[in-house]
Amino acid sequence: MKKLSYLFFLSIIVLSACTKLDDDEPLIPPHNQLGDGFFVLNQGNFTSGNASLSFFEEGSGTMTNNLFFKKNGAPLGDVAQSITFWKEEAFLVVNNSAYIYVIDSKTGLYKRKIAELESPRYLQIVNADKAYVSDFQLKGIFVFNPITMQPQGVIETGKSTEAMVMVDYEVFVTNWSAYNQSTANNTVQVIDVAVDALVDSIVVGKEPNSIVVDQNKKLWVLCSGGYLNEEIPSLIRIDPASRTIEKRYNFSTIESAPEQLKINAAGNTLYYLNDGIYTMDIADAELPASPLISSEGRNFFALGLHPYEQTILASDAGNYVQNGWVYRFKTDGMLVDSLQSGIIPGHFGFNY
Amino acid sequence: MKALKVLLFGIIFSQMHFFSAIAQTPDTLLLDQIEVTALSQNSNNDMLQHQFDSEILASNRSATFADFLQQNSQVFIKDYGPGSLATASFRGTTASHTKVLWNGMPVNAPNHGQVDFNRLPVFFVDEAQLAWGAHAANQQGGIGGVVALNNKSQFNKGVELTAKQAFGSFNSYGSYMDISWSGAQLNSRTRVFRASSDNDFEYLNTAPIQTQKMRQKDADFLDRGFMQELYWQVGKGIFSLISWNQWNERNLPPIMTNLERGGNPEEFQNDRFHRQILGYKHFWEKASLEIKTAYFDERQHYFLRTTSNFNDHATVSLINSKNDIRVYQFLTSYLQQIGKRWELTTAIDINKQMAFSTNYEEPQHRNQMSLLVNAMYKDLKGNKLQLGAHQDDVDGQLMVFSPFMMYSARLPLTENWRYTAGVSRNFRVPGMNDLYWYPGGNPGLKEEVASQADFSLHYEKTWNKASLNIRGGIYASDIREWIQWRPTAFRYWVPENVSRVFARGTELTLGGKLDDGLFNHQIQINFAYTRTTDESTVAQIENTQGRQLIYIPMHHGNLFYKMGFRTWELQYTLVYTGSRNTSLNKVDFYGFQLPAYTLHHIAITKKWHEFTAEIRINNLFDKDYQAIRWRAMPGRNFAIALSYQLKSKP
Repeated sequence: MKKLSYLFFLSIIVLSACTKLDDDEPLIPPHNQLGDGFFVLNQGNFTSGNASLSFFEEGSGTMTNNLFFKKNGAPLGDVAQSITFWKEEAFLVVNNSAYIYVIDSKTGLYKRKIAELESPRYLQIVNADKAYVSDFQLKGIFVFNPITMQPQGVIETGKSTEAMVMVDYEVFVTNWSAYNQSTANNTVQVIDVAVDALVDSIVVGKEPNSIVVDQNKKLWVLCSGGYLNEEIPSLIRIDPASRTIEKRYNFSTIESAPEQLKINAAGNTLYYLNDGIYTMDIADAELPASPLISSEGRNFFALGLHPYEQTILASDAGNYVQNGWVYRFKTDGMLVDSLQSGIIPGHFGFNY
Repeated sequence: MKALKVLLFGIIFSQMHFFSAIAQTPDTLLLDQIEVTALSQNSNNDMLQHQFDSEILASNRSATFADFLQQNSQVFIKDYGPGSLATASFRGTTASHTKVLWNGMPVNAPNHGQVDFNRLPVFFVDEAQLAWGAHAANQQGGIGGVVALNNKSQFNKGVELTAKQAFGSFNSYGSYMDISWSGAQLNSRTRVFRASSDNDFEYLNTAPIQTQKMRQKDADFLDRGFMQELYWQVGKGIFSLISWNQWNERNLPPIMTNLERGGNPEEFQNDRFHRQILGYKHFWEKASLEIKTAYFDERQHYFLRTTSNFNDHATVSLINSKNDIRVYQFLTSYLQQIGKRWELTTAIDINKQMAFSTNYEEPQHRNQMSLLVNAMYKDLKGNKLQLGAHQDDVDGQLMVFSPFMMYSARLPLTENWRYTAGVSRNFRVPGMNDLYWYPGGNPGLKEEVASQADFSLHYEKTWNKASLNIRGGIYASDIREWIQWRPTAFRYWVPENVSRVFARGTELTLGGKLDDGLFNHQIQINFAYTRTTDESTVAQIENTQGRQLIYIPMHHGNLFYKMGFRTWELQYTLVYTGSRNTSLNKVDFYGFQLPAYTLHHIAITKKWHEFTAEIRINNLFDKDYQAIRWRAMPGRNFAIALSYQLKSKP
């Protein structure tokens, strides 16, 4: 019986020794040039750390997903929000990881970063000495040096900040979010870049989510009307010089949720999402009644306009828990092709 | 004669099926008759339920049920890290499909439907059972399975005292005290515990550009609990009053990709609950009646604050979310033996759930009533037929009729082989968060409905000094109206009854005991193969049909081995967790699947009279792994414990 005991014990040891010990497969980053094309920044899921970067290379017509990891051997982070180009670099704002990675836009290789931000959203390069970062939580704009990545302080705005554009020496920033805010989220604030200070505020519609500048140096602000449909959404044209509203286009229903306002390279045609993709000339007197491209079951999430080609890019976030798609359309609405990207493709960046 | 009658009831109850076992206050007079002895193999188990060996349970008294089930069962534990949330899922379902009963009363939070198994100390439990398939179908919500945790009265044992002090890596401490007094009619038992850890273990962080060894931060926790039991035996009845009170405080660590957040984030979750059950159970010669009433008060507080680095540390973000749950429950069950072969059980369960939450527009409440009828036939050969059904009413609406049937018999021409076949239908009502969360809650949600079938084989043999127990089974579960939160055009999500999940798989359990006089051995092996896929039209459209649902491993298992030699004992545990999808995508991206991992734990115990010393090494081979993507887990760590046990007759 003792022999049986030893045999029993031995069998346990053998059984446990047979267990496979696994290891992650290493990835080696290539150093080749990316070529001309566009980046797709995929947000990934909140607190899942599965944000990613895709790149479509126009020469070969191929989409490379998970580019950041393949190049750098590390994940991009948690909820990638926006991509901004400056010189030959791309600034990737990663919202919930609270850092900004800078990559070489020609190779995708990591160069440097700034961390310990609050909840960064979008970046506006002011000049070689400073860049502004809007923030979902911070009631202000974070300022840092885009070369040394050293923080330079915060411009207090009293509200969280979102989309930004620069006109001459002023940055116009939308106050989009009401989350954790006691002040109204229906303004566009004006920052004087010479002194890094808030100088004015323009009341627009509720939840101004995006802002562009047209060929006449007029600002266009798209307001979704509120997270819970508090008011009629609106598109508003502002004269930045006088800081006054020149025209307001109201949407037909309070249930509309327009967002992602973009303008073409010529600065005369607007595009936005409102379930489908809509377009209008900046001289139009009314909002378009019907979409240029219907969603047809797609969950359009981000919009991009090719700077040289007559192409519209629209992402489809699908059910948010699997890879999304990027659709390419001609400006007449004809579908060119569709490309699979990462989870929640949320921002486009054109790399030329 | 009285003793004989009590024994008769004990025998009847020992053969009763799961519902009766979990719905009634355990009673020493009865349950002493079925205590596991040295070489028996859980003789009261059948193939659709499992009662844990009392010795194994006793040797894990300072563990949580998250660790215990992970190392000793086929239940999959989704573990966010030591001290953090840990949920249990049976057979490819989710945490909210696992019903947890404490002395027959459900403890699942009505708002999210889940139970945190890291907040369930083994120390507060005397008996633990698992049930699944047709055996779990008598419990609304137990679509995946049921975990039943029971306390047990005892009489004529005098004073019993157990004190245990544990120390471990990362400044981990555990203090446990259990004092009981019992006479012929009265039993009072008090248990208290305190467990804490800094949890600042070192791990390999692969998220930064440069992979580096880091220390876990903001993961400390402090759990304290107090349980009081009173039992009073009067004639043929027993009154019971059980009070379980617990306070849990924990900081919430960031994931590996978010360690460089600014604003000095302060994020924690404090829970406390007070659960009281008052019961009475009466026995007749061929019948028993049990009445219980319970009041549960559960409070959860989530807090997040960040402050500015530039503006006198002004608050930048602040979330102060509070959820209070109050549940009133009333349960009565009556068991009647009919003739020599039949037993009939009827039960009525009435409860009122109230939820006060900063995430709802207004306080919400829900009234539920369930009527259960359960008949069991058993012949002299041990063949059993069980038929039953429950009909539930939720806020005046009738839920789907839920029948179940199970048949268990010896295989023809064999002595030690048995088979069990079961079919059942069951449902789960939506959680209150699904119904009332603001914004997004959908009050129009229907219940999820599961149709299940099981077939299993069981081999059991006992020799003079050894025993062997093998079980293997297959199952299939078709769950319709599965609730899934879906995005909307307004950028918030809304739950809908859109999915149809098909869960199927096989399970294998092997148990053995051997005692040669010098050494005694015990081994238990569990393995599960689980396939769970969404087969709905929506999944077809989204091209996710047929893909394994996220965080459900296709393969997982464990091995437990114990060897005793005089006053020494060696325990070895192996836990294998197969790869898990973290998205519904094809696996073409490192982030879409977590690799499989194997953990090894070892413990050595030595007894000196009333004292027992234990040394435990967890993660023996210092495996670097992630159970959940980007959640840090500890490498090799140590724990020592010293316990003292006193028993004296009155």
